[in-house]
Amino acid sequence: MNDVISQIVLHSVGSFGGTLGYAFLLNAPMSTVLPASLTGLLGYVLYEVMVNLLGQGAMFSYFLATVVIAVLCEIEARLMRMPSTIFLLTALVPLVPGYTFYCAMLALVEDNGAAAAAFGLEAVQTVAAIAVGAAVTSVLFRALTVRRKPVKA
Amino acid sequence: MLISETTQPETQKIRLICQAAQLALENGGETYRVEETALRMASGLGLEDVNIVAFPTSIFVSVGGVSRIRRVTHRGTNTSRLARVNDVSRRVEHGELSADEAEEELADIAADCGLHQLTLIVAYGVSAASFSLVFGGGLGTLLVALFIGMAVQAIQPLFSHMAMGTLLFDFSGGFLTAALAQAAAYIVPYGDVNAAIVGGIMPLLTGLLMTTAVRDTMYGDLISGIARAVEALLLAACIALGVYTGLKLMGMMGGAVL
Repeated sequence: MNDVISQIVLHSVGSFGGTLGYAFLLNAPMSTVLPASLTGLLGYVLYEVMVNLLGQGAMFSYFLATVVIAVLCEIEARLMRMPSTIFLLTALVPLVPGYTFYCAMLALVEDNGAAAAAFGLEAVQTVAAIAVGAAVTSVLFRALTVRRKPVKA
Repeated sequence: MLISETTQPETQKIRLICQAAQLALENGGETYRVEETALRMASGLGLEDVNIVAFPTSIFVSVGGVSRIRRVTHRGTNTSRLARVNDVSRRVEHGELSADEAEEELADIAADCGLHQLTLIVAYGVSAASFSLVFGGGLGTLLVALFIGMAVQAIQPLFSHMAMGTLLFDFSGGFLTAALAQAAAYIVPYGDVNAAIVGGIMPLLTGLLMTTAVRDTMYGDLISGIARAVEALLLAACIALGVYTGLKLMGMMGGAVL
Protein backbone atom coordinates (compact mmCIF):
# COMPACT_ATOMS: atom_id res chain seq x y z
CA MET A 1 0.00 0.00 0.00
CA ASN A 2 2.72 2.45 0.98
CA ASP A 3 4.70 1.43 -2.08
CA VAL A 4 1.78 2.26 -4.30
CA ILE A 5 1.29 5.63 -2.65
CA SER A 6 4.96 6.60 -2.84
CA GLN A 7 4.91 5.53 -6.48
CA ILE A 8 1.90 7.76 -7.13
CA VAL A 9 3.66 10.69 -5.44
CA LEU A 10 6.76 10.15 -7.57
CA HIS A 11 4.68 9.91 -10.75
CA SER A 12 2.74 13.03 -9.89
CA VAL A 13 5.98 14.98 -9.44
CA GLY A 14 7.02 13.66 -12.85
CA SER A 15 3.77 14.57 -14.52
CA PHE A 16 3.89 18.07 -13.04
CA GLY A 17 7.41 18.66 -14.33
CA GLY A 18 6.55 17.20 -17.70
CA THR A 19 3.49 19.39 -18.09
CA LEU A 20 5.39 22.47 -16.95
CA GLY A 21 8.11 21.93 -19.54
CA TYR A 22 5.53 21.26 -22.23
CA ALA A 23 3.73 24.53 -21.41
CA PHE A 24 6.92 26.42 -22.17
CA LEU A 25 7.39 24.47 -25.40
CA LEU A 26 3.97 25.71 -26.52
CA ASN A 27 4.88 29.30 -25.61
CA ALA A 28 2.01 29.39 -23.16
CA PRO A 29 1.16 32.79 -21.64
CA MET A 30 3.04 32.98 -18.32
CA SER A 31 -0.11 33.38 -16.23
CA THR A 32 -1.52 30.09 -17.53
CA VAL A 33 1.57 27.91 -17.01
CA LEU A 34 1.03 27.12 -13.35
CA PRO A 35 -2.77 26.55 -13.39
CA ALA A 36 -2.48 24.33 -16.46
CA SER A 37 0.38 22.30 -14.98
CA LEU A 38 -1.49 21.82 -11.71
CA THR A 39 -4.57 20.70 -13.62
CA GLY A 40 -2.44 18.20 -15.53
CA LEU A 41 -1.00 16.94 -12.24
CA LEU A 42 -4.44 16.59 -10.70
CA GLY A 43 -5.80 14.69 -13.69
CA TYR A 44 -2.87 12.33 -13.75
CA VAL A 45 -3.08 11.64 -10.01
CA LEU A 46 -6.79 10.91 -10.42
CA TYR A 47 -5.96 8.43 -13.18
CA GLU A 48 -3.29 6.71 -11.09
CA VAL A 49 -5.49 6.54 -7.99
CA MET A 50 -8.36 5.04 -9.97
CA VAL A 51 -6.20 2.42 -11.64
CA ASN A 52 -3.91 1.50 -8.74
CA LEU A 53 -5.99 2.06 -5.62
CA LEU A 54 -9.59 1.70 -6.73
CA GLY A 55 -8.96 -1.00 -9.31
CA GLN A 56 -10.92 0.62 -12.11
CA GLY A 57 -10.32 -0.22 -15.76
CA ALA A 58 -7.71 1.82 -17.61
CA MET A 59 -10.04 3.15 -20.31
CA PHE A 60 -12.67 4.36 -17.86
CA SER A 61 -9.96 5.99 -15.74
CA TYR A 62 -8.53 7.79 -18.79
CA PHE A 63 -11.99 8.98 -19.75
CA LEU A 64 -12.89 10.23 -16.28
CA ALA A 65 -9.51 11.91 -15.71
CA THR A 66 -9.90 13.67 -19.07
CA VAL A 67 -13.39 14.86 -18.23
CA VAL A 68 -12.18 16.28 -14.91
CA ILE A 69 -9.22 17.99 -16.62
CA ALA A 70 -11.46 19.42 -19.33
CA VAL A 71 -14.00 20.77 -16.84
CA LEU A 72 -11.24 22.43 -14.80
CA CYS A 73 -9.72 23.87 -17.98
CA GLU A 74 -13.04 25.35 -19.06
CA ILE A 75 -13.49 26.95 -15.65
CA GLU A 76 -9.94 28.34 -15.67
CA ALA A 77 -10.46 29.64 -19.18
CA ARG A 78 -13.57 31.53 -18.15
CA LEU A 79 -11.94 32.92 -15.02
CA MET A 80 -8.88 34.13 -16.92
CA ARG A 81 -10.74 35.10 -20.09
CA MET A 82 -8.63 33.03 -22.43
CA PRO A 83 -9.40 30.25 -24.92
CA SER A 84 -9.78 26.93 -23.10
CA THR A 85 -7.53 25.28 -25.69
CA ILE A 86 -4.54 26.94 -24.07
CA PHE A 87 -5.14 25.09 -20.82
CA LEU A 88 -6.31 21.87 -22.40
CA LEU A 89 -3.31 21.55 -24.71
CA THR A 90 -0.96 21.55 -21.74
CA ALA A 91 -2.98 19.74 -19.09
CA LEU A 92 -3.80 16.66 -21.18
CA VAL A 93 -0.18 15.84 -21.96
CA PRO A 94 0.54 13.41 -19.08
CA LEU A 95 -2.39 11.23 -20.16
CA VAL A 96 -1.14 10.73 -23.73
CA PRO A 97 -0.35 6.99 -24.04
CA GLY A 98 3.31 7.37 -24.99
CA TYR A 99 4.37 4.19 -23.26
CA THR A 100 1.84 1.95 -24.99
CA PHE A 101 2.69 3.60 -28.29
CA TYR A 102 6.37 2.87 -27.69
CA CYS A 103 5.69 -0.74 -26.64
CA ALA A 104 3.95 -1.26 -29.97
CA MET A 105 7.06 0.03 -31.75
CA LEU A 106 9.33 -2.19 -29.67
CA ALA A 107 7.20 -5.23 -30.47
CA LEU A 108 7.41 -4.39 -34.17
CA VAL A 109 11.20 -4.18 -33.98
CA GLU A 110 11.27 -7.57 -32.26
CA ASP A 111 9.10 -9.02 -35.05
CA ASN A 112 6.26 -9.72 -32.65
CA GLY A 113 3.28 -8.71 -34.74
CA ALA A 114 0.60 -9.93 -32.33
CA ALA A 115 1.98 -7.91 -29.41
CA ALA A 116 2.43 -4.87 -31.64
CA ALA A 117 -1.20 -5.05 -32.76
CA ALA A 118 -2.40 -5.44 -29.16
CA PHE A 119 -0.36 -2.48 -27.90
CA GLY A 120 -1.27 -0.42 -30.95
CA LEU A 121 -4.96 -1.06 -30.43
CA GLU A 122 -4.63 -0.13 -26.77
CA ALA A 123 -2.93 3.14 -27.69
CA VAL A 124 -5.68 3.94 -30.20
CA GLN A 125 -8.37 3.14 -27.64
CA THR A 126 -6.70 5.37 -25.08
CA VAL A 127 -6.41 8.27 -27.51
CA ALA A 128 -10.06 7.77 -28.42
CA ALA A 129 -11.08 7.80 -24.74
CA ILE A 130 -9.14 11.03 -24.16
CA ALA A 131 -10.34 12.70 -27.34
CA VAL A 132 -13.99 11.87 -26.76
CA GLY A 133 -13.79 12.83 -23.08
CA ALA A 134 -12.29 16.24 -23.83
CA ALA A 135 -14.50 16.90 -26.84
CA VAL A 136 -17.77 15.95 -25.14
CA THR A 137 -16.95 18.14 -22.14
CA SER A 138 -16.08 21.21 -24.15
CA VAL A 139 -19.06 20.81 -26.49
CA LEU A 140 -21.40 20.46 -23.50
CA PHE A 141 -19.81 23.43 -21.78
CA ARG A 142 -20.33 25.57 -24.85
CA ALA A 143 -23.88 24.40 -25.33
CA LEU A 144 -24.72 25.19 -21.70
CA THR A 145 -22.87 28.45 -21.18
CA VAL A 146 -22.76 30.27 -24.51
CA ARG A 147 -26.01 32.16 -24.92
CA ARG A 148 -24.74 34.82 -27.26
CA LYS A 149 -27.44 36.12 -29.51
CA PRO A 150 -25.95 37.14 -32.84
CA VAL A 151 -25.66 40.91 -32.71
CA LYS A 152 -26.80 42.47 -35.94
CA ALA A 153 -25.17 45.76 -36.63
CA MET B 1 -18.18 47.43 -60.62
CA LEU B 2 -18.60 45.73 -57.28
CA ILE B 3 -14.95 46.04 -56.42
CA SER B 4 -14.69 49.71 -57.27
CA GLU B 5 -17.64 50.37 -54.99
CA THR B 6 -15.67 49.10 -52.04
CA THR B 7 -14.13 51.95 -50.18
CA GLN B 8 -10.62 51.98 -48.80
CA PRO B 9 -11.48 51.48 -45.09
CA GLU B 10 -13.65 48.53 -46.01
CA THR B 11 -10.68 46.78 -47.62
CA GLN B 12 -8.60 47.40 -44.55
CA LYS B 13 -11.26 45.82 -42.36
CA ILE B 14 -11.49 42.74 -44.52
CA ARG B 15 -7.73 42.44 -44.48
CA LEU B 16 -7.82 42.72 -40.71
CA ILE B 17 -10.32 39.89 -40.39
CA CYS B 18 -8.22 37.69 -42.65
CA GLN B 19 -5.11 38.48 -40.68
CA ALA B 20 -6.68 37.61 -37.35
CA ALA B 21 -8.17 34.40 -38.71
CA GLN B 22 -4.88 33.37 -40.24
CA LEU B 23 -2.94 34.07 -37.04
CA ALA B 24 -5.41 32.03 -35.00
CA LEU B 25 -5.29 29.12 -37.44
CA GLU B 26 -1.50 29.12 -37.76
CA ASN B 27 -0.99 28.98 -34.02
CA GLY B 28 -3.24 26.09 -33.12
CA GLY B 29 -6.78 27.50 -33.02
CA GLU B 30 -9.66 25.19 -33.83
CA THR B 31 -11.58 26.04 -36.98
CA TYR B 32 -14.75 27.00 -35.10
CA ARG B 33 -12.70 29.35 -32.96
CA VAL B 34 -11.11 30.88 -36.05
CA GLU B 35 -14.51 31.49 -37.61
CA GLU B 36 -15.82 32.91 -34.34
CA THR B 37 -12.82 35.24 -33.99
CA ALA B 38 -13.36 36.59 -37.49
CA LEU B 39 -17.11 37.03 -37.04
CA ARG B 40 -16.57 38.81 -33.73
CA MET B 41 -14.16 41.26 -35.32
CA ALA B 42 -16.49 41.78 -38.25
CA SER B 43 -19.38 42.71 -35.99
CA GLY B 44 -17.12 45.06 -34.02
CA LEU B 45 -15.94 46.74 -37.21
CA GLY B 46 -19.50 47.18 -38.40
CA LEU B 47 -19.30 44.94 -41.46
CA GLU B 48 -22.45 43.30 -42.73
CA ASP B 49 -23.16 40.20 -44.78
CA VAL B 50 -20.03 38.45 -43.56
CA ASN B 51 -19.35 34.82 -44.37
CA ILE B 52 -16.31 32.93 -43.33
CA VAL B 53 -15.21 29.36 -43.85
CA ALA B 54 -12.03 28.04 -42.29
CA PHE B 55 -10.31 24.74 -42.94
CA PRO B 56 -7.04 23.67 -41.34
CA THR B 57 -5.28 24.64 -44.56
CA SER B 58 -7.22 27.65 -45.85
CA ILE B 59 -9.51 30.55 -44.98
CA PHE B 60 -12.27 32.01 -47.14
CA VAL B 61 -13.77 35.35 -46.18
CA SER B 62 -16.50 37.09 -48.06
CA VAL B 63 -17.93 40.49 -47.12
CA GLY B 64 -20.74 41.84 -49.22
CA GLY B 65 -19.48 40.46 -52.49
CA VAL B 66 -15.80 41.04 -51.85
CA SER B 67 -13.93 37.91 -50.98
CA ARG B 68 -10.47 37.06 -49.80
CA ILE B 69 -8.76 33.69 -49.66
CA ARG B 70 -5.77 32.91 -47.48
CA ARG B 71 -3.69 29.79 -47.79
CA VAL B 72 -2.34 28.48 -44.49
CA THR B 73 0.76 26.42 -45.05
CA HIS B 74 2.38 26.59 -41.66
CA ARG B 75 0.58 25.11 -38.67
CA GLY B 76 2.18 25.14 -35.26
CA THR B 77 1.15 25.77 -31.70
CA ASN B 78 1.90 29.02 -29.96
CA THR B 79 -0.71 29.58 -27.32
CA SER B 80 0.58 33.04 -26.36
CA ARG B 81 -0.26 34.30 -29.84
CA LEU B 82 -3.59 32.48 -29.72
CA ALA B 83 -4.50 34.22 -26.47
CA ARG B 84 -3.49 37.61 -27.83
CA VAL B 85 -5.47 37.23 -31.07
CA ASN B 86 -8.46 36.20 -29.00
CA ASP B 87 -8.00 39.25 -26.82
CA VAL B 88 -7.75 41.60 -29.81
CA SER B 89 -10.90 40.18 -31.38
CA ARG B 90 -12.85 40.68 -28.16
CA ARG B 91 -11.64 44.25 -27.75
CA VAL B 92 -12.52 45.05 -31.36
CA GLU B 93 -15.96 43.54 -30.84
CA HIS B 94 -16.59 45.77 -27.85
CA GLY B 95 -15.33 48.81 -29.70
CA GLU B 96 -12.29 49.31 -27.47
CA LEU B 97 -9.93 49.07 -30.42
CA SER B 98 -10.12 50.91 -33.72
CA ALA B 99 -9.21 49.26 -37.01
CA ASP B 100 -5.82 50.99 -37.10
CA GLU B 101 -4.97 50.01 -33.55
CA ALA B 102 -6.05 46.44 -34.19
CA GLU B 103 -3.85 46.29 -37.27
CA GLU B 104 -0.86 47.40 -35.22
CA GLU B 105 -1.63 44.85 -32.51
CA LEU B 106 -1.93 42.02 -35.02
CA ALA B 107 1.35 42.97 -36.68
CA ASP B 108 2.93 42.99 -33.25
CA ILE B 109 1.55 39.52 -32.50
CA ALA B 110 2.83 38.18 -35.80
CA ALA B 111 6.29 39.57 -35.02
CA ASP B 112 6.35 38.03 -31.54
CA CYS B 113 8.71 35.12 -31.97
CA GLY B 114 8.12 33.60 -28.54
CA LEU B 115 10.57 32.22 -26.06
CA HIS B 116 14.27 32.02 -26.71
CA GLN B 117 15.60 28.75 -28.11
CA LEU B 118 17.72 28.20 -24.97
CA THR B 119 14.61 28.35 -22.80
CA LEU B 120 12.89 25.88 -25.09
CA ILE B 121 15.87 23.50 -24.92
CA VAL B 122 15.74 23.54 -21.12
CA ALA B 123 11.93 23.16 -21.21
CA TYR B 124 12.10 20.11 -23.50
CA GLY B 125 14.81 18.60 -21.31
CA VAL B 126 12.84 19.11 -18.12
CA SER B 127 9.69 17.76 -19.75
CA ALA B 128 11.42 14.64 -21.08
CA ALA B 129 13.22 13.99 -17.78
CA SER B 130 10.01 14.35 -15.76
CA PHE B 131 8.07 12.04 -18.04
CA SER B 132 10.82 9.40 -17.79
CA LEU B 133 10.17 9.50 -14.05
CA VAL B 134 6.47 8.80 -14.66
CA PHE B 135 7.31 5.75 -16.75
CA GLY B 136 9.44 4.15 -14.06
CA GLY B 137 12.88 5.61 -14.62
CA GLY B 138 15.39 6.22 -11.83
CA LEU B 139 17.93 9.00 -11.39
CA GLY B 140 20.23 7.73 -14.16
CA THR B 141 17.33 7.50 -16.62
CA LEU B 142 16.25 10.99 -15.63
CA LEU B 143 19.66 12.44 -16.50
CA VAL B 144 19.79 10.61 -19.82
CA ALA B 145 16.25 11.75 -20.69
CA LEU B 146 17.19 15.33 -19.78
CA PHE B 147 20.11 15.20 -22.19
CA ILE B 148 18.06 13.54 -24.95
CA GLY B 149 15.29 16.11 -24.61
CA MET B 150 17.75 18.97 -24.88
CA ALA B 151 19.33 17.38 -27.95
CA VAL B 152 15.95 16.93 -29.68
CA GLN B 153 14.91 20.53 -29.12
CA ALA B 154 18.37 21.70 -30.20
CA ILE B 155 17.84 20.29 -33.71
CA GLN B 156 14.34 21.77 -34.02
CA PRO B 157 15.38 25.08 -35.69
CA LEU B 158 16.92 23.09 -38.56
CA PHE B 159 13.42 22.00 -39.59
CA SER B 160 11.39 25.09 -38.82
CA HIS B 161 11.67 26.66 -42.29
CA MET B 162 11.70 23.44 -44.25
CA ALA B 163 8.84 22.16 -46.36
CA MET B 164 7.35 19.19 -44.50
CA GLY B 165 9.45 20.37 -41.55
CA THR B 166 7.09 19.07 -38.87
CA LEU B 167 7.06 15.57 -40.33
CA LEU B 168 10.84 15.50 -40.64
CA PHE B 169 11.30 16.91 -37.15
CA ASP B 170 9.02 14.28 -35.64
CA PHE B 171 10.87 11.54 -37.49
CA SER B 172 14.27 12.91 -36.47
CA GLY B 173 13.12 13.45 -32.91
CA GLY B 174 11.97 9.85 -32.61
CA PHE B 175 15.13 8.59 -34.25
CA LEU B 176 17.47 10.70 -32.13
CA THR B 177 15.68 9.71 -28.93
CA ALA B 178 15.83 5.98 -29.60
CA ALA B 179 19.41 6.08 -30.89
CA LEU B 180 20.80 8.24 -28.08
CA ALA B 181 19.02 6.31 -25.33
CA GLN B 182 20.46 3.03 -26.58
CA ALA B 183 23.91 4.42 -27.30
CA ALA B 184 24.06 5.79 -23.74
CA ALA B 185 23.06 2.38 -22.41
CA TYR B 186 26.00 0.76 -24.21
CA ILE B 187 28.42 3.21 -22.61
CA VAL B 188 26.95 3.37 -19.09
CA PRO B 189 24.21 0.99 -17.98
CA TYR B 190 22.04 3.72 -16.48
CA GLY B 191 18.80 1.86 -15.94
CA ASP B 192 15.57 1.83 -17.87
CA VAL B 193 16.19 2.47 -21.59
CA ASN B 194 12.46 2.29 -22.38
CA ALA B 195 11.56 4.97 -19.84
CA ALA B 196 14.22 7.29 -21.28
CA ILE B 197 12.90 6.83 -24.82
CA VAL B 198 9.25 7.34 -23.87
CA GLY B 199 10.19 10.44 -21.87
CA GLY B 200 11.96 11.80 -24.94
CA ILE B 201 9.05 11.26 -27.34
CA MET B 202 6.23 12.37 -25.00
CA PRO B 203 6.53 16.08 -25.86
CA LEU B 204 6.41 15.17 -29.58
CA LEU B 205 3.18 13.16 -29.30
CA THR B 206 0.50 15.79 -29.52
CA GLY B 207 -2.53 13.91 -28.35
CA LEU B 208 -4.52 17.08 -28.57
CA LEU B 209 -4.57 17.00 -32.36
CA MET B 210 -6.85 14.01 -32.02
CA THR B 211 -8.96 15.84 -29.43
CA THR B 212 -9.28 18.81 -31.77
CA ALA B 213 -10.24 16.42 -34.57
CA VAL B 214 -13.05 14.89 -32.53
CA ARG B 215 -14.20 18.29 -31.32
CA ASP B 216 -14.28 19.73 -34.84
CA THR B 217 -16.30 16.75 -36.01
CA MET B 218 -18.80 17.16 -33.19
CA TYR B 219 -19.28 20.83 -33.97
CA GLY B 220 -20.18 19.82 -37.50
CA ASP B 221 -16.89 20.86 -39.13
CA LEU B 222 -16.64 17.44 -40.73
CA ILE B 223 -13.94 18.27 -43.24
CA SER B 224 -11.70 19.90 -40.63
CA GLY B 225 -12.23 16.96 -38.32
CA ILE B 226 -11.12 14.45 -40.91
CA ALA B 227 -8.19 16.60 -41.99
CA ARG B 228 -6.95 16.92 -38.42
CA ALA B 229 -7.39 13.23 -37.70
CA VAL B 230 -5.26 12.44 -40.75
CA GLU B 231 -2.65 14.96 -39.60
CA ALA B 232 -2.55 13.39 -36.13
CA LEU B 233 -2.12 9.89 -37.57
CA LEU B 234 0.56 11.08 -39.97
CA LEU B 235 2.60 12.75 -37.23
CA ALA B 236 2.25 9.73 -34.94
CA ALA B 237 3.38 7.50 -37.80
CA CYS B 238 6.43 9.73 -38.35
CA ILE B 239 7.46 9.50 -34.71
CA ALA B 240 6.87 5.74 -34.73
CA LEU B 241 8.96 5.37 -37.88
CA GLY B 242 11.74 7.43 -36.30
CA VAL B 243 11.78 5.35 -33.12
CA TYR B 244 11.60 2.14 -35.16
CA THR B 245 14.57 3.19 -37.30
CA GLY B 246 16.55 4.24 -34.25
CA LEU B 247 15.91 0.99 -32.39
CA LYS B 248 16.62 -1.16 -35.42
CA LEU B 249 19.80 0.67 -36.35
CA MET B 250 21.24 0.57 -32.87
CA GLY B 251 20.24 -3.08 -32.56
CA MET B 252 22.18 -3.89 -35.71
CA MET B 253 25.21 -1.72 -34.97
CA GLY B 254 25.27 -2.10 -31.20
CA GLY B 255 27.21 -5.31 -30.91
CA ALA B 256 29.62 -4.48 -33.70
CA VAL B 257 30.61 -0.91 -32.95
CA LEU B 258 30.52 -0.50 -29.22
